[in-house]
Amino acid sequence: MSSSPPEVALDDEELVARARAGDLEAYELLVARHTASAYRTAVLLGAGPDAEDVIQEAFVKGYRNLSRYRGESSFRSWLLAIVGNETRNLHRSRSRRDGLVLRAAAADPASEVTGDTAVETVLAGERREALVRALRRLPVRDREVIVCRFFLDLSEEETVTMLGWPRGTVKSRTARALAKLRSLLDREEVRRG
Amino acid sequence: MDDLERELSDLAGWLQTPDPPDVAAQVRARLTAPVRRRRRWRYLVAVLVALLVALLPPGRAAIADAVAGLLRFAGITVATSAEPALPTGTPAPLPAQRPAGLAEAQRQVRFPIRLPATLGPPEQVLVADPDPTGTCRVATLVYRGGALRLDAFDGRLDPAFHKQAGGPGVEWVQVGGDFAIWVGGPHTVAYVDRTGALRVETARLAASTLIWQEAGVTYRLEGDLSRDEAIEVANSLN
Repeated sequence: MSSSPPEVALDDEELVARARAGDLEAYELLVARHTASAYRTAVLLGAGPDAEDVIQEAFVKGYRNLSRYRGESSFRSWLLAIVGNETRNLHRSRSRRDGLVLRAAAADPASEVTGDTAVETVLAGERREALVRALRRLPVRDREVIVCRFFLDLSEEETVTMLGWPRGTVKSRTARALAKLRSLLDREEVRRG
Repeated sequence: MDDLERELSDLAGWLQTPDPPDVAAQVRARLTAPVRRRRRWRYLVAVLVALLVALLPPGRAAIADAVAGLLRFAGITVATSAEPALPTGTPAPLPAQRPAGLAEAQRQVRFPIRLPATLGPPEQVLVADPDPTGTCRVATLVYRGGALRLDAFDGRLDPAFHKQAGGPGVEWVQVGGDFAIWVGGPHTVAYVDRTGALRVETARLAASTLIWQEAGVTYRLEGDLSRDEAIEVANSLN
């Protein structure tokens, strides 16, 4: 098992097997590989400035619970489930934070715009702001499923692992969350219109 | 995908996330810190069993090639060493080990006792190392007049902090799609008790052994079996 040459990029399953046998360097490779998506998950689920602590805790717990990872789902979604739990624990112990921060429009790569395009850009920006406002008003579980499916781009299967809900619940909750979001947006348009 | 779903996917790119921090060093520091480990031991709801297995390399060539190392798996520590200390004297059984009927044994342990279908009902069932409330840590099924034994114990142990060192005679195999360890030769086995202390007096020479884990329970099948026979027995747990 330890005979693979080191220059070959090992897949997650192989690294998990090694880490499970106590190979900390293998686990470090997994940490490096999944830090970015773990961090984004923690931020989007609302961990705010505690996101770094959350993922550190999640990686430590992940290692200690590796024997419970059965390989039925991707290691990534299994790990993100721990990140999600840690973020929820944070919410229980401190006041709720919101992770949905819109990037400034100036960061738009196509910023050299004039005339009609500029108007469109402004409208698109306003629409995004409206969407974020609506998302903030969604119940936590609805928002979680939206974050998983659309912002973290997890498959339905991965979302099942990540949130620990049955597949049917993931489906129905997604549909319900989208419907709520739609009506929140409609109401906002009526109010502004 | 409807418009709203498309908008949400598009919004993903606009949601700001700071650059991810590099946590690898802190994570490693925490995983190797001995203080944390002791604390975890204290907090473990069920303190679990580890069995130390010191491997006897099968021949002189193996002795020359053997790499000293330690391997932990599912509550079992496998140490490979070039000069294994042979157990001396008559080994004691596991602490407070006693026979029990199957139903009684089941009441004495916190995990379900499962019987391998290929072996049928055991000739004897033993339980060992009770806590003050009488709950035992290890259940043993005995077959073939004691030549074949299956130990089961709660194996959700503190994971290892050592590098893997697969020594001679130790190989990774699969049981039920999960990893297992096959120790293909005679080796010494000693018991690690509730306090984490190695019970040298329990050390004895063990036959080939298959170690695997299922649903949080660690199994140790020892006896005169080939690797494939052992895996077949392991896969037949009811």
